[in-house]
Amino acid sequence: MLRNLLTVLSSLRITVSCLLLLFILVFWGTVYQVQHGLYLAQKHFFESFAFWIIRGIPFPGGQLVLWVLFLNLLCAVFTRFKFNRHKTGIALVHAGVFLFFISGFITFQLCQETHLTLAEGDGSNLSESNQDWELAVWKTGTQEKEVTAYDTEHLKRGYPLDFSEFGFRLVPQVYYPNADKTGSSLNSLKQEKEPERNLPGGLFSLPETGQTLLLHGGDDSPALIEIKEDQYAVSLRRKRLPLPFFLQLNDFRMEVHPGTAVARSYQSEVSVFSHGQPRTTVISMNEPLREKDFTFYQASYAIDPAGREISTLAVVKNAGRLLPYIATFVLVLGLAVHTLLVASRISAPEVTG
Amino acid sequence: MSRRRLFLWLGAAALLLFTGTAAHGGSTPFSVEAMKGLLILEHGRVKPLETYSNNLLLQFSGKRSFHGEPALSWMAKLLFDPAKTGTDAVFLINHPDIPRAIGLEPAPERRHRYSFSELEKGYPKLRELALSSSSIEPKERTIVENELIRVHENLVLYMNLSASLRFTERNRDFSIPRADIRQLMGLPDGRLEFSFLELALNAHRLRKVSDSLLNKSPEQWSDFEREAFRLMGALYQWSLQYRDLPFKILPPMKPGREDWTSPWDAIASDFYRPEVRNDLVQLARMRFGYLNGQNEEFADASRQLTSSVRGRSLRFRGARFSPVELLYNRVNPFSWARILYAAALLFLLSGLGLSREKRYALASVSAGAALLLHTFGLACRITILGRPPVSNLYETFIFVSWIAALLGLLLEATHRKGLGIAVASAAGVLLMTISGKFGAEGDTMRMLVAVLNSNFWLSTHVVAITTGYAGCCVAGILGHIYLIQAIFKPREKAPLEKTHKMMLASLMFGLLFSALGTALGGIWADQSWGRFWGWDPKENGALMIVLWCGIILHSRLAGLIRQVGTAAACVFGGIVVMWAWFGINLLGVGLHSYGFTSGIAASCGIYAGIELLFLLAAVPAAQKTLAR
Amino acid sequence: MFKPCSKKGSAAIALILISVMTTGVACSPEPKKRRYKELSVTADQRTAPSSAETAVPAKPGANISLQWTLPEGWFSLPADGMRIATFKNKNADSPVECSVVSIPGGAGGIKANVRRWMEQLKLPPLSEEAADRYIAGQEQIRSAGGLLVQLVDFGFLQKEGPASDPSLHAAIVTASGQTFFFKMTGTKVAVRENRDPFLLLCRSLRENA
Repeated sequence: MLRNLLTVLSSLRITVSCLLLLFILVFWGTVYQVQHGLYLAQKHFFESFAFWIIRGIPFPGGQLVLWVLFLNLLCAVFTRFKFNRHKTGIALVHAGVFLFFISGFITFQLCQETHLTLAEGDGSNLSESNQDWELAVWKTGTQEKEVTAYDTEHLKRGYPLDFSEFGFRLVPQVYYPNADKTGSSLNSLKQEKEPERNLPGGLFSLPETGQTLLLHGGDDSPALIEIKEDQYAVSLRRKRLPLPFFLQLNDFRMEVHPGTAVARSYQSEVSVFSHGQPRTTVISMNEPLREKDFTFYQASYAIDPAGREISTLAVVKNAGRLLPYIATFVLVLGLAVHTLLVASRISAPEVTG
Repeated sequence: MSRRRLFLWLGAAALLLFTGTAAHGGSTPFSVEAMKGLLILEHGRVKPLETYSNNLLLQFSGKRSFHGEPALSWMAKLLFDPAKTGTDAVFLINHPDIPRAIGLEPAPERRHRYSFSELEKGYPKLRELALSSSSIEPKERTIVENELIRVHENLVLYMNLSASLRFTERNRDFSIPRADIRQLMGLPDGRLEFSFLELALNAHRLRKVSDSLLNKSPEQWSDFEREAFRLMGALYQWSLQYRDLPFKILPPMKPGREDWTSPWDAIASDFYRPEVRNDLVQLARMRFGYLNGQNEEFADASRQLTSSVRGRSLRFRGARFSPVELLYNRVNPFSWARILYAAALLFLLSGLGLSREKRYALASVSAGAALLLHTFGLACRITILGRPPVSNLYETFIFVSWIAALLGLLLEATHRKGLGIAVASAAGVLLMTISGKFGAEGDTMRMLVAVLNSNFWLSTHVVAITTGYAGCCVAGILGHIYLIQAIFKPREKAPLEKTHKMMLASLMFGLLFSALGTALGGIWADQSWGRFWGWDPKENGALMIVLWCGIILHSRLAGLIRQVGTAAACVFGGIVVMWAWFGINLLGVGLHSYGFTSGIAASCGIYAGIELLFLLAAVPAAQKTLAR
Repeated sequence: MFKPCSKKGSAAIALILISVMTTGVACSPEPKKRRYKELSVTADQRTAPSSAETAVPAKPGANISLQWTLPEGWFSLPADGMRIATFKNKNADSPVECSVVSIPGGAGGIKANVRRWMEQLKLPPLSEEAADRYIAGQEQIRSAGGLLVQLVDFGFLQKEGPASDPSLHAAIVTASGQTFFFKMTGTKVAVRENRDPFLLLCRSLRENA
């Protein structure tokens, strides 16, 4: 029974169907981006298990197809595949594909992409999420800014958020992932094509004082509340992720090709303050900084209204970062071996005949 | 550089200006060849004036020549005798609404090309329209708005270039009726009008006079002093007027600087340097030689200027390798390679009344020569740019056709039945013809933006992926050949088998490099953006090629397709490659493409349609004949 | 081999897929509480901490240490982002906007800012000496509160070109260790016509007690 099941699952027809489906998905997802942007295409075609072509007619999504393909490959190893010398290349190629599956899964589940925007001279120990938001509270006027925060992703109406260390609770009344604030009213908006452009807004009641706070992602300064003679700041802001070190931007440099406005290179000179001595290093295009589990990339730059140069670094935390490199190596090695074997077989009769 | 020699030249030039006539003279045709090696900085790259002229005329008129004359000749006219270019119809306007909007009749009979004197009347209107178009976000602009901006830029560039050497022209502002001032300035008698440069070279003498006037009230000035003061003012006015012109032909004087300057800017900042003065005098001599048809004078001044500038700018790659670029321009390797590939194909396919052996020999020789020229051209580009030749679509076409031709001839080396030559020359002709379309954008040797500016990744990822394209293209061509063989010569099993094997080998080759290129692309993306894969259109295109190869191989294994099916799938693979290679780029530009790009989008569609029709007809036919 | 068990096979596949999906979806939908320490340093505190644990005071800024009186015919808009204030004039024929930005410390000096503004106005760049001369030639006034206000008028550099080109008139003031930038933007004509109210605004500047 198990043997039978494995045989069915390892069928080459499944392989071919899945590859064809993936081929169609990739094409469709590319064309879809023209209208709807990369983010939605990714959610709709590649990360989904299934989606509707038109209402009632489903089409398998990328994640489903990849899972089936993965199982198919796994089963084939146990049933169909018989190793011999001629199949060294084939075996390596499929091992490479297998590694790609694993690394894809790890990245999909664990990878965190955030960014860090610093003006020259500024530094921080927090990186900012591109699209996730948090409700953050801290006590003002203290030496150390200790923040307590909740992700806004799973906020539930009427379900209180506990800030007992400060002695109060906040109860979400209304929360819109993208909203427009005019005066003291909030209007829900359609979500943007690029999710980083959404500005959420919400109403939060404070049972301890009977106040209701209107918070919006576009607010300049946090809302201030007074509880027992202490002042607290409440802010709806992009989610912050603490880094295990402190990073300061010393200098940003941009070079252009002579006589043009085309950039030749961007460089950020930063100091990393871990325990002990600071370390100064340069992050440039194609040359990131790797520190602990984090990697910092030169992403973009700007000039603020006062003329200071501002550098944006993309911050990526990915435990499976090395896997695709290994997978690439194995896959390409396999292909090369196989191509050579095939080539030798094709030209062999010519040599002898 | 001794001062005395300088004055000698100037004196000689002035003397000749006096005796000469302001028209082309002499019986031997005048040649501007000598100035083709002058160096100029444009778009961040130092290049010979010949290349600059070709690109400029292409940018203005869509062609590299004007009335059968090379671009360099027209450039010389624009620089030395700008008034004569006023009626040259060199400005191509791609949209009939634009001439109408500025009060001109559209001129399809002149293939939509207009002269400066025509456009000049409508210039204020054109400027206004272009400025309002520029304020629109680039992505939101319509075809007409883009074209308006382009035409306006061209017109401004033309006007700026025509003023680039005005300091060598005689002008009424510098007419000196007083003999005592001419004497003071060391200018020859018998002529009243002089150029800016003639006065500027001895401006210190004027200055001495005008400085002494500071303590005198104007009523007390003598006529002599008044005249000297007027001339000094005219010089000052002129030196302010022509700043930041695009004709950057003089290298930076300060060490470590990379910005070249136009002669006018050099007058403003570096006029005290003898080498700069010398350069300017040579330019004046060139103009004099040009206007008076004195070939030797022109050639000598050009040579002196070229060697002096090049000697000072050898730290620029473009200056170091300018002889290579001139050779490349002269040989024009890719055009000849294309013709030779076409010849090889012709010898293989048509009888021409020659014996089979002769035809094969001729085809091999022309294909071999084509590949040699092709290789030479690529080597030139690598030398000139100092990077792998794969940084824009034009270059990838040249590179892919080279790999395909190389692959074809390698296959030929193992089988010697003409099949490899056919593949090589077909790929050569086809891809190089398409490359011509992309080459019409203007300069194909541009500098790279920061993220692409990495020789390591260009030479690994991009080279690998384009090699993959080439492999799949060859497999596609062999797919065609297989299907045609199967329909017309189904009995000859051995050649069929051979084609099939070659096709599989090319497919494997294509898959190997596509997969390598795709994965390396992921690694590059991981290095520079922090993610290996992001479903970006270009990444998706590469993945589609790999997937398609995977589909073909697994379908064969599963017994879903056999030889005919494989051939058909390889033909379809050609469409997939086209999509990944440049179909996706068209998708991105989509709405705001103009001229040639929309033409390319249409021809892509036509190509895909024809291939599908071919498959629909050929596959059943091949199956029928083979089954018999 | 494939056909006889296709039904069984598909059922099995479906089962496996469902289990995979449920494990994938089974993450907690509850909002999770997180606590962290926020450290940040801005340009005026160049002395960096010796380690991540050292406390650094938060960004200064919210309370403005400069006061002014709006000239007649101008009104104020709510603060937004980097700007601590934005003003507009009521005359719709020659509209101008004036923004106020404050930066701790010297903010790169006047020359750097002048250069940047010139870039914004698409003016040809000046040489080092020319820039020095140009800035030296600009007016400095003393405000009612005794502050030295450096004015920068770009109208001088924009003699040519249409009256509808964008122009800019700026004032730079240093007070309480911060540099304040007052930037009036509009068309060339509008900026010229609003020069007097802008000067009035600059004259009214005084430090907070």
